Amino acid sequence: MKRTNKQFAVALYELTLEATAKTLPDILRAFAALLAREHKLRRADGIIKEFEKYSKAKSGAREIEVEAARELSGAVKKEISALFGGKAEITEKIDPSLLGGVRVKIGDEIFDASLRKQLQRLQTQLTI
Amino acid sequence: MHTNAIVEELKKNITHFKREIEKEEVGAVLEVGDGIARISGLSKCQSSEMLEFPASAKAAAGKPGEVVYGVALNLEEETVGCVLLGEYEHIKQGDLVKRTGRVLSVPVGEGLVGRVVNPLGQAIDGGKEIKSDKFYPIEKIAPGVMSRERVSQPVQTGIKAIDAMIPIGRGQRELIIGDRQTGKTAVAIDAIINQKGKDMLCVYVAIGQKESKVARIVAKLEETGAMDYTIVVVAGASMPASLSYIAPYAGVAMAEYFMDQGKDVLCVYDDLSKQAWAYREISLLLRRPPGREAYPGDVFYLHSRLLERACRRNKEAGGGSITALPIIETQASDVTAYIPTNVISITDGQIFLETDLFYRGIRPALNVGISVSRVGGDAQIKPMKKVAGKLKLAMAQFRELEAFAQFASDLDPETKKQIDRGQRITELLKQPQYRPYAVEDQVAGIYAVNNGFFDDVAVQDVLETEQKFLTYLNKTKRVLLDKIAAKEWDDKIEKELKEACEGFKR
Repeated sequence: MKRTNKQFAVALYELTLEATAKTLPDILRAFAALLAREHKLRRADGIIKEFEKYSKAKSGAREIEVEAARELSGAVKKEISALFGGKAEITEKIDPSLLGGVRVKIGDEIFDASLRKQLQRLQTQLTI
Repeated sequence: MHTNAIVEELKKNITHFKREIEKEEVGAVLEVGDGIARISGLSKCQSSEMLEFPASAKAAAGKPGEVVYGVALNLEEETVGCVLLGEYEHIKQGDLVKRTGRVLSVPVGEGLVGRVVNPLGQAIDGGKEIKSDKFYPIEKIAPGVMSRERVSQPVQTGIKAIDAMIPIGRGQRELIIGDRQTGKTAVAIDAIINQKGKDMLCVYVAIGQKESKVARIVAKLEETGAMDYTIVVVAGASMPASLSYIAPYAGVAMAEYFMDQGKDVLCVYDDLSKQAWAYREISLLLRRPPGREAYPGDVFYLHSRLLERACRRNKEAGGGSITALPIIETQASDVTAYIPTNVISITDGQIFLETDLFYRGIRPALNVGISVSRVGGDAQIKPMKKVAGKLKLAMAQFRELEAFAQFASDLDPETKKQIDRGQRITELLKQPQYRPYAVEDQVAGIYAVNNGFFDDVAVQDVLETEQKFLTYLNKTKRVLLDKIAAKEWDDKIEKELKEACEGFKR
């Protein structure tokens, strides 16, 4: 069976879940040994990335990307963050072509509340 | 739209503004090339779902470039493999890909009749845009056992050899197979031309054909008035393989709409070998394991699921039928190759076209010995059944004796007679292209030859004499021909026909 990076990352996450400062180095050593045995060391980078993603998702902290036409005020950012559980890490992007409103990207999903989208929708409504 | 309406619409939109947040599911392009793309993300993507790629930058004056769609074929753990249905030069790694939530579907409806469209249902004949509010998914499970009925009505192809000896019924799947340049397309086109006024709609699907050939066919269909009831679906040789792959499914989806209205449809797939090549290309690029002749493992299912959708539905299920005429091109007459054997086993019979017959001047170059129709016999009209039975027997005897034809002078009179009859029948079954025969004319001609009325005519003059005979009949005995066309046949009609033949001889 071919194991994916994600499977390794999940395994590592579950192992480290109950680890204390004392047991952690042992666990990590054992995990590295496992990777070496399975010839998977060159995939370590990918596994670490997956691990970060997975542990973030587990703890409820999510990375969200907020696109807006203009720079957002702190209050708005806080409000958006609160919508997604409060722990979200926000990266901001300015895209004037949105005209107004915001576009929020979380993982595979985009919530589009921009003015551009509304106008596009109006256009399709009017042409059909 | 009126200005006021726009203002109203705008107002309405503005009042609803806050509630309309659109949720999109997206992924990013990992790699793209050769008409396929791999995409990360899209965790909820369905199989054969349409995916929206960024629009091409090649914008026509003032208009945004056209959105390129893809179809998800491989759903893997982390990625989605998809084929692109259009230009992909502008797609870059990292581009956003949106889910549409729709499985690949094509517009259907009356608006398509008389049009030339691509497999996505967009007009490519330069006419106005096709607007349809009805969409059918291109992949659909074929009707089940309970909604089907036996094939009982004929499809008149207008080709004497086929209607007499290899009859095709409505709802049948009859394969047309042969080498290149043996007249496969000609048979199918003649069949379409002959459907005029027969309450049939036709769908001609050109797969991987030269655009010049398609243009010629469309021109011919227009000239003969056949475009009035025909949809031409074109996946040209220059279009991506993905379009060749979906073209037959798109064609049959358009046909299914009309079947659902209780109509009879004739579907020609020209040709399925090219579709199999396109599918092989896609499968190999998606890294599916190759099998025999490098085709993927599911190439049988590729054709069987398409041809199963040809059917005749019973009254309870709404009636209607789809008759399929798939075409397969063989290489050097090799019918034992992978795709020909597959499709032969799927269909209800096959029409073999051969190169040497073609060059001997027997056109259509049908090999009547090995061509069969497994269900069409039930669909033949009674008069044709009566006269064609004799014809088949005479042809079978002739084939056995044909080798001796050169020593005609040394043979006994009985054998000589059989050979003479066979040669005249072979001559009678010749037919120029685009000249379909009405069924009553076919019956009369075959009856005359069968009963020895042409025995004193030189073999090379048979066709000419037949023409004269048919003109004579149409002038003097139209009532009799109408009766035959109305499927009537008894001793009285036969006697009348015999008298007509005698009258013509005098």
